[in-house]
Amino acid sequence: MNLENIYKWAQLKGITVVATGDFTHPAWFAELKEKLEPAEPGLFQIKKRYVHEVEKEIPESCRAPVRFLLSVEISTIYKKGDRTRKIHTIFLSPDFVSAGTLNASLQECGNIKSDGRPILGMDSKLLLQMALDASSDNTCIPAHIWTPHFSVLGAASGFDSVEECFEDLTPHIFALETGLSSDPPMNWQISQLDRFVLVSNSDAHSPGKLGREANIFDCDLSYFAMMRALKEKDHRQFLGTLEFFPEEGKYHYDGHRNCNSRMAPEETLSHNGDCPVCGRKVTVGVMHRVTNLSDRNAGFRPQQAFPFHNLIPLSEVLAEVNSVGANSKKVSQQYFKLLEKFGSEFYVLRDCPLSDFKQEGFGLLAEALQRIREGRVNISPGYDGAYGIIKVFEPWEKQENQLSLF
Amino acid sequence: MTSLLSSLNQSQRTAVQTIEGPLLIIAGAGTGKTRTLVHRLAYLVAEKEIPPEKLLAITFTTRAAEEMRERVGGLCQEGIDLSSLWVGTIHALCYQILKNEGCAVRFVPDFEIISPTDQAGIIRILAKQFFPQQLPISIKHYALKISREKNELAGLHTSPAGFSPFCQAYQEILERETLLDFDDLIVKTVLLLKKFPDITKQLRSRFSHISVDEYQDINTAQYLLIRELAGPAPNLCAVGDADQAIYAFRGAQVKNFLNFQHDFPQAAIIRLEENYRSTSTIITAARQVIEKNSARIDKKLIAVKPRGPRIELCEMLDEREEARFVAQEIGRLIGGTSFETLGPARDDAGLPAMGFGDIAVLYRLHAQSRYLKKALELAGIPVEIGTSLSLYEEPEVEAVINVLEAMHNPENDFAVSEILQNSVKGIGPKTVTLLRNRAQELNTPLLETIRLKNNFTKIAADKCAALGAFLDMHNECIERSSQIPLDQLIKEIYEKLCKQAVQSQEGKNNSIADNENLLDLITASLPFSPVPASEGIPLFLNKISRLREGETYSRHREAVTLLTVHGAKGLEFPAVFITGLEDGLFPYNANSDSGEEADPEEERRLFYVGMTRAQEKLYLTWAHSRFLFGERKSLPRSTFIADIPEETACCYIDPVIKKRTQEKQAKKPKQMNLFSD
Repeated sequence: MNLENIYKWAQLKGITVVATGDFTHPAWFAELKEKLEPAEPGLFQIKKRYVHEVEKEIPESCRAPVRFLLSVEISTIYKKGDRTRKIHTIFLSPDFVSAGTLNASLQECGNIKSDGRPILGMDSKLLLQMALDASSDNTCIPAHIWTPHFSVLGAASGFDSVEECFEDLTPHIFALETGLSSDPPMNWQISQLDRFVLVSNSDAHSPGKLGREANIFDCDLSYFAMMRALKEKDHRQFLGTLEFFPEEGKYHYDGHRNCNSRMAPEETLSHNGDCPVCGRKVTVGVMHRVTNLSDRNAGFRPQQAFPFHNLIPLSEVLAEVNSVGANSKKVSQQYFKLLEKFGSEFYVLRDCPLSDFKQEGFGLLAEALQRIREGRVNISPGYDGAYGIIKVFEPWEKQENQLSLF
Repeated sequence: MTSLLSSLNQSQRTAVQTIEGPLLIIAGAGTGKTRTLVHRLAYLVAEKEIPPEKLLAITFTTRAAEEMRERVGGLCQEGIDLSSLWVGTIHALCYQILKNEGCAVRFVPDFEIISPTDQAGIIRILAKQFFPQQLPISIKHYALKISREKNELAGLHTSPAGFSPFCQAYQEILERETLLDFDDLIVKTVLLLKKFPDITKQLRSRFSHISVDEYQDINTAQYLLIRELAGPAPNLCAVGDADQAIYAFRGAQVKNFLNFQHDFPQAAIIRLEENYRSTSTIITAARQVIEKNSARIDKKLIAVKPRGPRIELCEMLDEREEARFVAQEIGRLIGGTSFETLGPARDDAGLPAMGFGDIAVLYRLHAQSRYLKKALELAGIPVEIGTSLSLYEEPEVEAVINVLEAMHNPENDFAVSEILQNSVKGIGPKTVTLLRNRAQELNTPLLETIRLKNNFTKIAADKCAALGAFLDMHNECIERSSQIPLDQLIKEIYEKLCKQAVQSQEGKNNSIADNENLLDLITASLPFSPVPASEGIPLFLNKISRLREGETYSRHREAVTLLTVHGAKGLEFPAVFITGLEDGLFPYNANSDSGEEADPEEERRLFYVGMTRAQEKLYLTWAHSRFLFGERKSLPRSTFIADIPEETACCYIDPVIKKRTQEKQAKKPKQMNLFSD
C-alpha cells in the first residue's frame, strides 16, 4: 500500500476521508510527512506531484477530492487482574506534532519499528494517557470490540466492560468500532454501550479492501467537525454506518465444524455448551459473548441509535451474479466497466437507480442490488473457523435465470 | 505479633527469631530467603523494639534494597517510622560513610562518582595508549582489570604504588578530577576504617544488628569492610547459598561464605530447604545438576509445588532457528500475539496465558543477545534487555547528540573532545590531549582554542585541515538550526558526520532509512520539531538527560526480559528459556586472552541459578552451529543436558534438522546403489 494507491482506491470506492493507518511506523510516518500537505483543519491531501500518474487510472466518473486522516491501530498485551489482556485500539491525530509526540512516547516503551501493527507490553489505559498527554486532540477508539482475542470486550482476553479497561479515563472514549464481526443491533443488546457512538472501519490491509465498512458524515470537511459529530451524537452530522454482514465471520456462531453442528448462542446454552453430535464442548463464537454480556433481548433498538446499512462488496456481488470467483478477470472487468459508466462503488451499491443498470444490460445485478438494499439475503453464519456464507440468490434461482437468458 | 511469624515455616521462623550473635542462613534457591530477611527486620523493629536506625541491611542491588524497604514497611504497623532504617547496597553505604566521615577528616576530598560514560571514555583513551597492539578494545575487559586490581590490593596496601602502570594512570586521572569509581568507594572506606578507629567504633555502636544478603558473592574488599563494621562479637546475619556463587570473575570469593563458621565459631547455622518457587519437575532436575559439584555445603532442596510441565530440551540447527523458535514459543505461551500467529495456548501444560513480563530468555554471553533481540522484535514481541545500551548510548546517536550539545553549549569540552576523537577522521586521542592541554594553558574552552588556532605548531597540517572541517561543520549546523526543525537538522548532522567520520570506514551502509538507531532518534525529536531547531535543541537535550535518569514511560511496560544468566540472579519468572547450551559456550570455556578464567564448578552453579529462576516452564536450547565473535562455530551439546533426568524432560527437534536428516537418509541408499551396481 502506498499513498498514491490509497488515493486512487478511495475514489474508486467513493470515500472522501480515508485514514492513513500505521503512523507509528517511522518509515511510513516519514512518507506521510513527505507526500501530504495540510488541507482542511486536521485533514491532509496528497501533493499534486505524486498523483499525476495514478490520476490516469481513475475513471472520470469517480474522480473526487480525497482527504487523509492520520491514524494507527496499536496492539497492547499486558496483565491486569492476573489475566493476560490483548487489546487493539485505534488512534487518530489531527496533525503531525500530535502524532509524532505520541510516537516519541511509544518509542520509549517499545518497538514501533516492526512491520505491521505495533505491539506494546503496556496497559491500554496508560496508552490512552500517553495519547492524551501527547495532544488533547488525539482520539482513541477501541477497535473491533468483539473479536475474541484482541479486543476490549473479547471473550478470551478482554474485559467485561469498557470501564474495566480504561477506568477513570473512560470518559475520553466516545466511540467504539463494531468491527467486521459485529453490527449495531448486536451492540444494542448491551445497555452499557449506549453511551458510545458505534463506528465502522474497513480494517483494510490492501487498498482494494478499503470501504468494506465505513462511516457516513454530513458535516464540515474537518477532523474536528467529524469528531464533534461523533462526540455530540449529532444525528444531522453523523448519519450512521455501512456494515459488513457480521455472520460472514469465521466465529460468529458456536459449534463444531467437523461435526457440522452450527448453533446460535441460545441453542448452545440449552445444550449446556456441549456439541449434540460428539458431546464435547463447542467452540464459542462472537455472538455468544454478546449474549453473555447482554441485558436486553435481541431486536431491541435504543432511541438514540444511528442507522446502518449492510453492504456486500461489489466484487462479491459480481462474483455471485456471474458464478465465478471474486478475484476472477471477469469480475474485475465488469467492476471497472460499472465504475466507468455509473460512478464509485458506493454509488453503484447504494444510490444508482436500478433502472440504469437494466438499461445497460445488467438485469441480474440490478435484482441482486435491489435485494441487498432491501436487506433480503440468505445468511448462513460462520462458526468454529468456517466462514459464513451470504448469498443473494438461491442456487435454483440462478439456474433459472441463466436458462432464461438463453 | 503472631501474625508476623505465622506465615513462615519452621526454619524461617527460627531464623527470624535468632537475633543474638552471628547467624548463617543457608538458603537454597526459592526458599524464601528475602522473605525471611524482611520478616527478620520487621521482627527486630516491631517485636524487639530495636530502633530502626540501629539496623543495617546490605543488599546486592539497589532494586533489592527498594523492594526490601517496601516489604518491611508493609509488615510493620502504621505509625512505625522506618525512614532511619538503613537498607542499601554496600556501595551506597560506603558512599554515605565517605561523604560524611571521610570528608570530615579529609581522608577523601569532596568527590563525585564517575559516570559510566566518562569512565568508558577514560579507559578507551588509556587502553589505546597502554595497549596499542590490542585492538579492538573491550572497555569491559579493562574495567574489570582495574576493578580486580583494586579489590585485591584493598587488604594489603594503602598507596597506589602497587598498581600496574595502566591502573595507576587511570587512578591519577580520577584523583585529578576528584572522582571515585565504585570500587574506590569500598576500598577507600576499608582504608578509612583501618586508619581511623574512632569512626569504626562509632559505626559499630550505631549498628547493633547487621544483615548481609548474597553473602556468597562478596569479594575481598567487601568482606574486609563487613568484618570491620561487625567487629569481633557481632549480631551479624549472613544469608546466601554457596550453590549460587557466580561472581568469581569479579573477585567474589565463595570461601568467605564457606569460612563463616571459621570466622565466627559461635555462629548458629540455619538451613532453608523448602522451595516455593518451582515445580517439583524443575527442582528434581536442578538438584541432579548441582549435586555433581564437589565444593558445596551439603543441603537439601525440597519442592513444595507439585509436578509441572516437563522441561523442554530443544535441539536447533543454528542461532537463527533458535531465536525463531524462542519467538514462536513465546507467542504460544501468551496465546498468540496477533491474528496471524494465533494458535492455541499451551493446552498441553494447562497453563493460563502468560504475559510478556512472565517470560525470560537467558544466555551465557551478551553477544548472544543481539540475534535474539532482533528475532523477537521482528515478531513484534516487546523486549527488555537488562544491561543493553539505551538508544542514547549507541555510538552514532551519541555522536549526533554530542554535536547538539556542543551547539547548545560551546563550552562543553567533553562533547567537543568526544566529537573530535570519535567522529573526525585523522584526529586521535593524542591530538585531543594536546588540544585539551593547550586549552587549559589558555584557560579557554576547547572549541574556542581550536577556533583561535594559535600555537598549533605541534599539529600536522592534515590534522589542522581536519580541525578546520570540524569547525565548518559546527558553524554550518548553527546556521541551519535557525532555518530548519530539529528532526531535519539531525538528518543533516548525521550526513555530515558520515561524510567525515570514522564510521564510514567500516564500509557500513550509512543511509538514514537503514539506520534504526537514527530513525529512533528522529522519532524522539518529533515533539521538539514544530519550532526551529535552535529553539528545539535545549528542550530536546533536557528531555534526554531526564531519560538518562530513567524518567520514561517504559517503567510501566511489560516485556520479555533478555538477560545473561548472571543478570537473572535473584529473579524469578513463570517461563524461562536458557539458550546456547553448547560446550564451550555454556559451560563457558574462555579463551586464554579474554581474561575470564572459567571454573567448571562455577559454570555449573551458574546453570543451576538459571534453571531455578523458572517457576513453571523451562526450555533448554542448543544449536548445531552458531555465529559468534566473527566466526561460525560448531560446538557439541552442553554436558549439562545429559544431567537432566529423563523423566523430567521432553525433546523438541528443529523441523529443519529433521528435514535435513531425512534428505540425507534419502540420499544414502542411492549412493549405495551406485556402488553395488
